[in-house]
This record gives sequence, C-alpha cells and structure tokens, in this order.
Amino acid sequence: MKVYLTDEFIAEVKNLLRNKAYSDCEEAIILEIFVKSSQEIRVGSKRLGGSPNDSPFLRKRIKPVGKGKSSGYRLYFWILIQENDIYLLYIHPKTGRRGGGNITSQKQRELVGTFKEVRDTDLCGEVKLNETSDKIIYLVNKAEVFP
Amino acid sequence: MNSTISNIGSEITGIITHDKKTLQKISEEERMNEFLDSILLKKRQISKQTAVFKKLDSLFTDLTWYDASNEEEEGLIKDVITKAKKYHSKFIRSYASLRKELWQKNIGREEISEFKEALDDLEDSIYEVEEIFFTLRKDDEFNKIMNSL
Repeated sequence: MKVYLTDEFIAEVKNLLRNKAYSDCEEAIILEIFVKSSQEIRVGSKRLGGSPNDSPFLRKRIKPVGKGKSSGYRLYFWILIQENDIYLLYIHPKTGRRGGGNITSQKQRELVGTFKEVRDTDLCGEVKLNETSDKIIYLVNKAEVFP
Repeated sequence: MNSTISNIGSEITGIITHDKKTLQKISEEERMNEFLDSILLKKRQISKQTAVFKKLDSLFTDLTWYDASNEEEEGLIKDVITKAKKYHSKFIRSYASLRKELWQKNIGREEISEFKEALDDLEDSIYEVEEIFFTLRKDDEFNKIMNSL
C-alpha cells in the first residue's frame, strides 16, 4: 500500500509532536496505517463520503499505545482501493490543549478539496515506514518526515 | 468426680468456644466469599455491558458504509439515533451510580473506566452518524466537491 501525506497533515503532526502530551502521535499513526492492510484500516472507520467500494473518505479513531481510544486522535483519510493508495489528510487529538470535538463540515469540505487538488496535481509526498528506526520517512530521499 | 466435672466442663467449654470460633470464622469466610462473589459478579456485569456498548459502536460505524437511499431509510436512521441517545443517557446515569457505589470504594475501577470509555465512544458514534447522514451528506457544497472527484 502506498501512503501519501498532505502538507497540512505533516504540519499538523509536527505541531502536535511539539507538545509532550502528543509525543505518541507518530507512533499511533504508524500502528494504525503502516502495519495494517487496506482492509484492516477500513475496519472501525466511519465513511464520511465517497464510494464505499472504490474511494471512501474516512474518519477513524486511533489510539496511542496504552491509552483508551477516547483519549486518542481522529484521523481523516482517503483510500483509493483499486490503486491501493491512502492519503492522510488531517489529524486532531480528542483531548488536551489542542483537542476537541470533530471538525466542522466546512473543514471536511476543505479536506475533500485538498484531496482533489493533491490527487490532480500529484503534489503529495509518498512516505513509508523505516522499520529499523520506527519512523515515517519520505520515499524519495529517505529523510524522516517528523525528525 | 469434681475433676471429671471440671474436665468435662473444660471440654464442653473448649468445644463451645472452639466451635463458636470456628463458626464465626466460617461465617466470616462465607460473608467474605459472598462479598467477593458479588464484586466479581458486578465486575462481570459491567464488562458485559461494556461489550454491548462496543457492539453498538461498531454497528453505528457499519451504518456509515451505506447511503440512505430514501425517506424510509432516513427515518429508520433517525429513529435509531433517537433511541441510542436515550440509551446513552440511561447508562450515563448508571455510570454516575457506579462511580458513587463502587469507584469511591476502590472496587472495579478498571471495569468502570472501560465502561465509561466505551460509553463515550458510543456517544461519539451516535453524533457522528447523525452528522454524517443529516449534515455532511446533505451539504450541497460537500456533494458538489465529491461529485467533481
């Protein structure tokens, strides 16, 4: 499965990782996305829109290690099932200083717009998991996305 | 004779005393066992209820993989949401009483935490499903962008 991150997603995770309370954010993403199949990722995801069998736009609760899902994160992403591609669009914590309820409909519209833009322009960076360091790295230059 | 009476008396006293102690001990053990059994039973009931919340949460998640294709289906979803909100309110009250009756006595804290977490997740799901079906998917702009993909 090919995983792509939008600039907004990368910026949001970097912001979260600056806060000690969210230092497990990258680990939570790895556990939920990088070590699971597309089918496994879909389990427990709510479909916001898109075609259920081809390209669902999804929201999923993901949890940091050793914590309940309620104190975890909400991940917004798009899966292109035929292509076996996944686009991570946005993440926010459920609790804490940067936490809160689910994002607004307006924001969700924006995410769909972002997805359309990055898909059409091929601007999204492909990433993969460096299994030795347990870090997400860019495919193109092997640099860590969240150093 | 006196010696015998004394011995018998001592023996009787010994038995009664011992028996009394034994009975008390058994009785306390029994009480303790009953108490522990009731705690275990309560913990099992809480965990069982938590499993029901998780099952409901999963069913609400499954709902989103479908589209409401007519008013009847929308009505069904609305009905389920209304019932689930009432159900959630009912169990929030249960949670309050669990906190009062058990949590404060340091009993079943792990089970109660899991109960509350699953109940919160269920609440999340109920409102998410409502938002997805009756706000997001009814939003013209959202649908316009979706259709342009």
